[in-house]
Amino acid sequence: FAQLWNEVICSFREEDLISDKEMDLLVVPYSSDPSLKLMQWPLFLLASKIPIALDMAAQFRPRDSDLWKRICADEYMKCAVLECYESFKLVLNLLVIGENEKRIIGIIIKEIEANIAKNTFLANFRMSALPVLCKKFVELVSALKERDASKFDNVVLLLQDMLEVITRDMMVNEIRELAEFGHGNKDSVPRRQLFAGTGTKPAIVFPPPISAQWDEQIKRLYLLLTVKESAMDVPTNLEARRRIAFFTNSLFMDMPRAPRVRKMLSFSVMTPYYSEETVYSRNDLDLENEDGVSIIFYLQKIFPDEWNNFLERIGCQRESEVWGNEENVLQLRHWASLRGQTLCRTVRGMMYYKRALKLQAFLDMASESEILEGYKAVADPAEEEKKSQRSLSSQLEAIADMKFTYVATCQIYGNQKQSGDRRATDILNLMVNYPGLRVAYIDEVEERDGEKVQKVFYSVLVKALDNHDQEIYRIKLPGPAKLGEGKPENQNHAIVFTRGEALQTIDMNQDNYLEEALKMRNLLEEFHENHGVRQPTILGVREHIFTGSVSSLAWFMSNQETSFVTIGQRVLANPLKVRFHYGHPDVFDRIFHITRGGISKASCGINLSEDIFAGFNSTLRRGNVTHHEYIQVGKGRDVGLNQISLFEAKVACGNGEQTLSRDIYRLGHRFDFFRMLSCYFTTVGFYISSMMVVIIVYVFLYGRLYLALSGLELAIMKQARMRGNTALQAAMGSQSIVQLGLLMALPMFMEIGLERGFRSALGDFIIMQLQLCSVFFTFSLGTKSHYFGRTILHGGAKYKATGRGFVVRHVKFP
Amino acid sequence: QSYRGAITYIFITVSMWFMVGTWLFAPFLFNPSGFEWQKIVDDWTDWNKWISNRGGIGVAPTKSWESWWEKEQEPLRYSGKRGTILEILLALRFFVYQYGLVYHLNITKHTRSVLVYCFSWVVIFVILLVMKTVSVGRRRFSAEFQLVFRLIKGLIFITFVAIVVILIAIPHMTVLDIFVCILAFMPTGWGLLLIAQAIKPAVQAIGLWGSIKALARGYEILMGLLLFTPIAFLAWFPFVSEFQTRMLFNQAFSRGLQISRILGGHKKDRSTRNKE
Repeated sequence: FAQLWNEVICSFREEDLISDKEMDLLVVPYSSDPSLKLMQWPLFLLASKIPIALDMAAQFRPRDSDLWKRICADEYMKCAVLECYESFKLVLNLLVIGENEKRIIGIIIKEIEANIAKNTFLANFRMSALPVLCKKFVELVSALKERDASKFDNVVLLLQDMLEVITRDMMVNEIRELAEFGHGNKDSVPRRQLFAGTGTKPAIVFPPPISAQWDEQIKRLYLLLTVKESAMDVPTNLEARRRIAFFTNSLFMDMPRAPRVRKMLSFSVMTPYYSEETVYSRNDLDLENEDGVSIIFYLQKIFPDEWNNFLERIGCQRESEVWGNEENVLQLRHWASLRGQTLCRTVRGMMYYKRALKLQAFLDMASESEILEGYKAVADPAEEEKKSQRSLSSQLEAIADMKFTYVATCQIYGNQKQSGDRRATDILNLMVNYPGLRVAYIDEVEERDGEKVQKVFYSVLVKALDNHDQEIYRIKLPGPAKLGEGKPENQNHAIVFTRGEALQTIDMNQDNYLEEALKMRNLLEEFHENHGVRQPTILGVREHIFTGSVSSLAWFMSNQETSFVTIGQRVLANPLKVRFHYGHPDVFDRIFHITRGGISKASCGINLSEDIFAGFNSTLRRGNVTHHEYIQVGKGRDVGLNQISLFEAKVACGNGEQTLSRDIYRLGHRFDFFRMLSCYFTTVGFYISSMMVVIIVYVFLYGRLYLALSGLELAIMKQARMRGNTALQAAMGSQSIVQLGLLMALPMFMEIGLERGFRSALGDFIIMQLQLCSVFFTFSLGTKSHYFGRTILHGGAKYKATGRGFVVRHVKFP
Repeated sequence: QSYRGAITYIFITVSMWFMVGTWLFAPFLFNPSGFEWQKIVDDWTDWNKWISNRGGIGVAPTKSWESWWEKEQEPLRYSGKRGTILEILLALRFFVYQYGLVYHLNITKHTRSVLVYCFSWVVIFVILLVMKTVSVGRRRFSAEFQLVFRLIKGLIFITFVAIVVILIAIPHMTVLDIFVCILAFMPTGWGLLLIAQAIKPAVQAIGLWGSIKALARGYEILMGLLLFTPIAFLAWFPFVSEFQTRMLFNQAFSRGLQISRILGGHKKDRSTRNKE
């Protein structure tokens, strides 16, 4: 597990979620020295344990077993003490090579361990001097870490001081062997300084030989002795905490057992892309809006700790240093792009699959010694090893390539390339950085057919080869490709370039994480698990909304979306069995769907919500849709009211088109009664109910108007007062309580309660009310009703590009 | 004698007022810096420009109210005869207000005759005719007969004031009656608008489409005033803007992020830096 964990922590550092220091505290030393026969935990779990143990020992008076029992009460303290002691011995063994000195140290250690075995350690050693010894040792380890040859004399002095502390201050009785040894020296040889060594033969090895393993060991020991942060404070970044918490929680969920990488199902990932941001350019970052806020300024304020980690990683102190260096500007562009909704972020996230597969294949195939050497030695091979086909590195690369393919279908990449668009260059750079990335696009070529010149269309697949794009396939199409909706047409022309048994659909504004990618093997095994009468054909996957941390609207929307992709879809998949395809990270049985109409329906207008039609198609053809929550993919959502309204308008229009489509008609005819009710209320019924809510308000108002103006109300009220009838008042009273917006917020309440506790859920609910979420949801209700009704009545649904920029500024009219 | 329970009325209508309020004002409430005075002034200026710009072929709906209005009516163009009839029938619901309210006036308290309703329609047509005359006169007499046109307008105004005074003096019309009349006639105008939109070709043949457009623009201006007045009033006070920012970015404040600098304080910092 240490290999996987360290790789995850390294990816956190590459993403600037943690600093260098935090990374040191979080990693597990997998290159353990076999001589240290114990489990080594991450340092943040062991932090501050040694100082506490020292205080405990210095003030403890009773017996040895009681002290050790108190130390063992904290498992991590016990591990810290043991590791500290073993590392102490290891350091002295490696550092001291003089024969006399080795003998002295051996005698002392034997004495200590004999006393521990006989339970007389506290009786024969004064523990009050232990902090002094520890302080000397910390200085010694610090000198070893710095490897400064000029400090040789300091090291000698430190060793002598340590010896003196042990023999004079700690030992109650002087050892006879040590006395005789001293006397023997006095008699036979002129007395010389211990640890200083003779002129020809040094007693200690300083500076120590260069070794990555040794450096890691020393650094770890130094941090073990000095760091005092509590485990609760590491890491400080909220995003890193959330990811670690979800990953560790997911390991306790029900998951199929993962096969070896060679035996797992191969899969592809496909991302449709049109002309969104790929990588922010220098001008994009520095351009200021009318309020004087640039993107880079905004990101620095929103992610202050990540900005500091980024500066630390590239070795700069100030922002001006970053702008002055071309390499740093490129790093800055990537840093900013990986925090927006860009293609760069999506590609980085999906290529974690390949990285995870290589790591897992390494654990499958490597021998014991190779595992002990560590994954890094294999992952960064030397140049001659890379060319060799027999090396482990090449084998890992080949296995990962066999199991994973990533196709980004950039529909107009050809046009962008011809016109010199910046996006084409950025896409090419992405291909160069991630050699496994494949780009599909539609090429328009004018061909001469006798006298006539006509336009011919090709589907083309390219990859990066020596810093330019190399064509792999070119397929002639019968005519123009964009007959219907753009995005599903984009998917349809590129699906021929995907490979494998499974296909995951990832949209342009999604992200992935390395620790989540490690679980893809388990997820693909769900295709072989028993999920009812039929095998699953669509595996639903959970999403994490990563844009919910700034404005209250983004928070409302991310909470609502989170409750839908977890508790909502969980109920849809089981027991209702009416889950379709809503989010993009679903994994399709590729062979099933390619032979049954594909994964996207693209007719203009009617298939505006092409996602759900894939679910309709699968269900109508006897497919089975499941939902799994032990793996999650990041998802960007809109953060401004304009964007949110446009998104909801799009979804409502799409639902209106679904109501008019034949798929719903067929589902209604073939479902049994209960499944039909479930399907109704979770697809078109939701919008019909929303529209009825609004219509009922109008009907109510017109009814009251009629009563008031016609005089009937007067008569009714008189009779009611005469009889003392207050039933209406009581009924309206209770209705008003229910109408406070509880029903809209109830799924969110349940989801937060299940994941973070109901007290936290109640607090969040109250805060949301204070931020006027009722106003927001009522406005959303109006938006949904308007667009749904309009689509039903007039048609004319159109795709509305909502935009993916940062929105924390005033929206002007119009 | 009051025959309504206050509590019952509140329970019955509070959700409806809430819905109306949210639909009208949520875009301002959830717009960053939505209650900053300078931005409200800019928005008002932009909105006025939008209302006043001339539309036509090639002008985007975001540039001109006229283009937007034409685009909103586009579905009606493809309705069949049944659709048109249904639209007209639906629009008739706006006439119920006038029918009911004119019998609740102080001056008609003792009358049950149908002539009251007929007379109210006469009043509507007179008002529309006067507005039509004024607009036609403005176009034709703008340059040559300015003095005569101004005299006519003055005469119309004096006549209107005289009528109001007479109505107050003799049949004891009250200010509340005037308010109720406005409430009665506004929905009728809107209903006429909807019917005219449904039968647009016929209206164009008669030559009244320009008048219908002007009437619709008038309604939009009224609605804009209704929206911007409370917004401007609230924007007058600085604490409203601060409260809105705090409410909108509460999580950011909790995390200690400097939202105010992102929301436009950066300019001040920049100018300060330039001085340094």
